[in-house]
Amino acid sequence: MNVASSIEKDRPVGTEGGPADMIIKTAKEPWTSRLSAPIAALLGVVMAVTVTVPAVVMLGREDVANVAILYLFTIAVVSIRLGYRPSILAAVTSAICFDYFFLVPYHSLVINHVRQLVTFGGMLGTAIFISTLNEKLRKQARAARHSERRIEHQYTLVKALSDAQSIEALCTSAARQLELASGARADILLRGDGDKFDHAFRAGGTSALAVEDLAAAEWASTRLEVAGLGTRNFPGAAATYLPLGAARGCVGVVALRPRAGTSTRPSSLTVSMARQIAMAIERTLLSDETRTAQLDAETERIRSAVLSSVSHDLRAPLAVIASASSTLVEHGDRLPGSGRDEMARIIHDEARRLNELLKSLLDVTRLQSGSLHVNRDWESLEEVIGSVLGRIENRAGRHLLTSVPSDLPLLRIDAILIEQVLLNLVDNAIKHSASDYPIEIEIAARGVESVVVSVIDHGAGIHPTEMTRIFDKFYRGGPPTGGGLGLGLTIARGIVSAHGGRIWASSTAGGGLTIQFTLPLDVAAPGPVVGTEPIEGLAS
Amino acid sequence: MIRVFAASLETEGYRVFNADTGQRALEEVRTRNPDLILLDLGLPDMDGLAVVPQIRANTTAPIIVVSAREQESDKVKALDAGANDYLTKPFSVPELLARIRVGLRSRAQVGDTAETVVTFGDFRLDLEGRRLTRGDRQVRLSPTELKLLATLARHADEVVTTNTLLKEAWGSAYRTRNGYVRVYMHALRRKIENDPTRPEYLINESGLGYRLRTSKD
Repeated sequence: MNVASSIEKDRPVGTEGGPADMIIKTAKEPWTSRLSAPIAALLGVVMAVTVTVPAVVMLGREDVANVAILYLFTIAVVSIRLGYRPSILAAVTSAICFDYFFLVPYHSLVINHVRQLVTFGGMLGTAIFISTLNEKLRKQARAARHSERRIEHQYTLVKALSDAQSIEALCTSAARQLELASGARADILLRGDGDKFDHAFRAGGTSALAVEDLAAAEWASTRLEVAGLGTRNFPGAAATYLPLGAARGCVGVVALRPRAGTSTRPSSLTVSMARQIAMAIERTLLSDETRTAQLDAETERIRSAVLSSVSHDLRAPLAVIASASSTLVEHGDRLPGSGRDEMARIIHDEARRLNELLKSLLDVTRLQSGSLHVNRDWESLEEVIGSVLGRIENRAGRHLLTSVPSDLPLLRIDAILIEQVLLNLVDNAIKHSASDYPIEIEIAARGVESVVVSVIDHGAGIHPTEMTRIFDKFYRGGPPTGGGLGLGLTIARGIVSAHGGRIWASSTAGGGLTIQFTLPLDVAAPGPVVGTEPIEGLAS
Repeated sequence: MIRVFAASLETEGYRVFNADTGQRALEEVRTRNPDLILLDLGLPDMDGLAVVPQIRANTTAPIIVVSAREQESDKVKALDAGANDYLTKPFSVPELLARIRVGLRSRAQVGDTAETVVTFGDFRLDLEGRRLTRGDRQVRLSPTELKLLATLARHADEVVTTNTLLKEAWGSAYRTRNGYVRVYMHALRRKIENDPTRPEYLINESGLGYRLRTSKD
């Protein structure tokens, strides 16, 4: 008995027909199983008859027992090789031959003795029994092979479904597995955004859906019934449509285009595969939905946290302005001059602070939306530093140490933006270091490619793990001293990147924070003027 | 805005007239012939920039443009079109008064009574004799450096755009070559300032140009 254990391709399942329809690729393929029924029956008879000759010649008419065994053997071979009906015919033929040639009276079919009847009957009975047994075994083998094939298909499908990383990959491999299992061209159709069946995943090739097919697909999907070719519903369609029904409803349909000459009814294997595919699709869709929902929730959470913190920070100065100005309105005439001055100064300072906060927000918004306009021109870093120093030393009363090489070439930068970067860095340094420690600004050329600007403070510094986080939006390390939304370093990073530079933080030797950024140098910079030309008309 | 400042200005002895629109502003300029004009670049009806040349055509009075911080390019254009100086919102009363004083002083300069000597710190620039001296020593300047310094001195305490400086020193053909100006200003700073990174006199106005500061205003 041959029990095939290899996967069979090109096998049209769904046709439980006779041996002629089954092309069983086994290890040893018996040519005899491809014979048509009448030929096989004839062959059975012929074999039974043929074996009579050697029986007579070699064994002689008296050796009835051995002859019987020979006949039985032949019948067994016929039943294994040629099937049930041929073997029954062979059994009958053998019995007749046996009776005719080996039972007394010879050359007649008469049975005289009960003993002869036993021999005759026994042989026939055994022959039929062997044939029947073989047939049953053959049927079982066939069923086992069939089962095994189904399991193979299912297993491959499940593996393909679990390996798929996306809906697209999932549907494409599922369609391919369906094709392998059913032999029909399979497509999986999912609903697109417009709720129409416009997402089709095919194992190969594309084609648009005809009206009839669309209707069949819709029917299958809404009624959870098979529709299309070979069914009562829209039989004019080009394919049969199986609904992909899962727990929450129908996720799509499978379109099957069976090969010419094969049945259009989807086999039980196809139906069960379809069910698995439906579940896998639903699972993927659900997990996608969950992921999106989680992301949305997270984004919403961050957004509202930021919104509340920002509005609080913006409201604070406004509240102060409101109360100071209301004091002036209500009690202005009763306040001493110094009191009025105090209120006015408070209003002025808070208004300035509010202006700064709003500007930061605007800048970061512009950075995010990519609409930051970098106006590059040849600029002197020395001048930029000069502006920064002017603003800081006036406002904050802190002294800054600078180290700027006198032969620094001009850089192609947006002076106003780079000034903003330095202001933000210095502001940051001021906020996080005590006033008895100086803040340093150093500029150094790094080869001929870039310039490194360092802002060094000697304050408390930050933890190494925070070195990259400080550039995050709304990040405020420690207690928020002096207000500020935590956007300064973010804006600085955005501007530096827009100039093609890098910015990073490190610890100052001896304690504190150093933030450095690079700006690229251009070889074509107009050079510094060396020496002086004599003034025309010089008198002395 | 005007409401807030009108009171302070009147306290200082100025008479204030205001116009809500560019059109009205032009009319007021024509009829009242003011000594100084404060122009908000964000006018409701006309583009503030367009008003500047029109006012300039009608009067030699100094124009100070007022704008929000992010309108750098507008300020440059306004200055090149004839404005004398600028203020950035929000500004304080002292800033406003200082600018007005400078503007009025420069107005007095226009015409035959133009000053020929400008002093800043212990420097003395003789515009006619084309010499710069510090105390009793002469400071050697190249012709270009001198031209630049002279331009700044002629508009002492007012901002001079880089374009104007280029035009004065090199001629109009060199417009938009800001690099040149920077290189020479760098050299001038080295000769004049004690600390080139903290200039006292040759002040750089980011994105606009330079200003020669002669007073401590």
